[in-house]
Amino acid sequence: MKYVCNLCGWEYDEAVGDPENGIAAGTKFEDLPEDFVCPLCGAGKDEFSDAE
Amino acid sequence: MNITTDIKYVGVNDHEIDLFEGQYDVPNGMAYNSYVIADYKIAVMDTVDARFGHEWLDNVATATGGKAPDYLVVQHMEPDHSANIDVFMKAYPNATIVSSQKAFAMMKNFFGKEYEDRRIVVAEGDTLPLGKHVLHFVAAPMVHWPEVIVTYDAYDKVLFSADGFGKFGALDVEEDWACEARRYYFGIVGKYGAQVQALLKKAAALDIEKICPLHGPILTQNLGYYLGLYDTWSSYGVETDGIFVAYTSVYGHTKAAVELLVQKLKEKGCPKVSVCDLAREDMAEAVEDAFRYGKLVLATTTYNADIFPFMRTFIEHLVERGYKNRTIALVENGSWAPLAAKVMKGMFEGCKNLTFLEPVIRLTSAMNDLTKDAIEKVSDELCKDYLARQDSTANKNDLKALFNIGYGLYVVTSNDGKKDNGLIVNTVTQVTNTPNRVAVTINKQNYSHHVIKQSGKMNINCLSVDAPFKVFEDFGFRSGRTVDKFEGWEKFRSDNGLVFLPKYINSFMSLTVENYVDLGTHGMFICSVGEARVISDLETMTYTYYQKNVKPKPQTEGKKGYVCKVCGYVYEGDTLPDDIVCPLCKHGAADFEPIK
Repeated sequence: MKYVCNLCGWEYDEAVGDPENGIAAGTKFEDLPEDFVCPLCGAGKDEFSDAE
Repeated sequence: MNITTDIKYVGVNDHEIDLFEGQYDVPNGMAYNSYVIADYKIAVMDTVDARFGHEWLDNVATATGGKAPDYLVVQHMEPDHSANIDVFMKAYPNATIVSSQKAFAMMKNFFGKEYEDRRIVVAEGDTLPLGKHVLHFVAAPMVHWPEVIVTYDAYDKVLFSADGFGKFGALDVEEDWACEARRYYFGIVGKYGAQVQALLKKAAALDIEKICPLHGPILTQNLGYYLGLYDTWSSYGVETDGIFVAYTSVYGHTKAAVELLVQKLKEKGCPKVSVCDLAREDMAEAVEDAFRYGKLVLATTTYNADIFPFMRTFIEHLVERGYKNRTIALVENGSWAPLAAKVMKGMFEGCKNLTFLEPVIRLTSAMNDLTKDAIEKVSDELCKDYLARQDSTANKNDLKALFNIGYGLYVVTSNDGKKDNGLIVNTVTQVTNTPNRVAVTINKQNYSHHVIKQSGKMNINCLSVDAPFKVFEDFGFRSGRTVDKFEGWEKFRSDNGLVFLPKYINSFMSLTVENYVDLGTHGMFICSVGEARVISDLETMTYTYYQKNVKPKPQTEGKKGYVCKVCGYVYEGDTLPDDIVCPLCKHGAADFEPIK
């Protein structure tokens, strides 16, 4: 499943994760920590939507 | 215009534009700033709006003395700055564009080309040497577009801040900076407070002497002032103490209520009241004021089972920009089925840290006595702090102030020679540290007071935030003379033989009484500290925390009388005896409040 940052367009792909920031590949969006932010623009989890 | 020896201004003023960014009234026009840095290599910072391409190219040529620039640095792709990229590249076919990856992708979308053979892609931390001047690039995503970079010239200590620190108004018009900068900020950048905070953090690490934005004047002095305002704005802080009243009024009745409220606010000491007719005044100024002040009054009519359109638009602007951390009072009018207050409040759902005042001020077509009554109550609430600070209106006998002294909560254990005892107090303080002394004050009606007076020793157990109500029931609401308070509790003992609790505490100390002070109703034990242990890292439970999170809501439904705020005991009756002592927790009349 893919999720997109509503503010800047960065995509979170569950299959890829965000390894540079310690998020392993395969991590589901719901399992991301509450303080997870978009690595590009700092937007919080609440600014993400379903990309599909 | 020279900004420094090598940095020259090549921007333009626009007095033709009707609406900036397609929406903002700009009575003093607009400036599109661009700069030339003429070093061994020549760099041009950004371009200008499409309608001023020729004027700008002339400015560039004058600034470079006819020499061809080497670089065009594109910090921001919004068309008021990027429109002349292609025109420039045609005029200077040997120039190289320097910009971010995302910007080049946007160039492809805007112009159909991305200059693959004549570009340098830069990212956070990259540099571009021009000679003495070395440009350092800093990413500023979502300030206010994703591709934005800002640039720091280490030689002249200049920050080229893209749209940051910009304002409406052309540079050939003298006007106050803050007002138009604020209207610009909240209108255009307001949603991205978090991202601006991130950029300010990066800027704090740089030695900046001048700020060159893409709009508005170059900032060369007193930079702390501008940075301070940007910090307040981007953290959604309150800039000015006062109240902003935004209203719509179709036939003047709602307006009359607003005028009465405003009069009351001024009478009650509000230092600044700003008022706006949302239909007739500048919407962006209204948005600016809503963020400038910490208290907002919204007054509107029920319309089509919704609210008057200008109020709807206004609230949408606020919510979109992340409105938070403020107090809001509502005024609604409805000639048959008033809904406006409910609708307005609903629009703010999801906004963080907003306090809505009661009551809602309601007009039924026009003001009536109930309306005036509500106006009186709401203006008192809005001006509570102003009234309290003003000598002529302050309540100088408000002993509720005593409830604002902060406390932790402690289980004090002792032993009467035959059995262990314990009670809960909040009155524990360290009084000296050479040597360490702690004062513990206990009500004489508590059995523990008698025990400790005789034995001269006690343990104080500091309750942590995980302590459940059961701890208070077991140690707080019963007498140890008759009951074994430790029934069901595992008991650990410290070196002095007294109990410390197995859980729900973050530390305990063993105290030995050195002095006793007789306070009439209470006795204060001044003690030295012996054994002291830290059990966990959890925070100490404060009295406030207990009231908010631990004490269960008292069973007052349908009952007439008073409730003890400490333990929830309900006293049923018309009047509360002055000398009442709560049978559960021993507190007096001052800690009772009427059941509503």
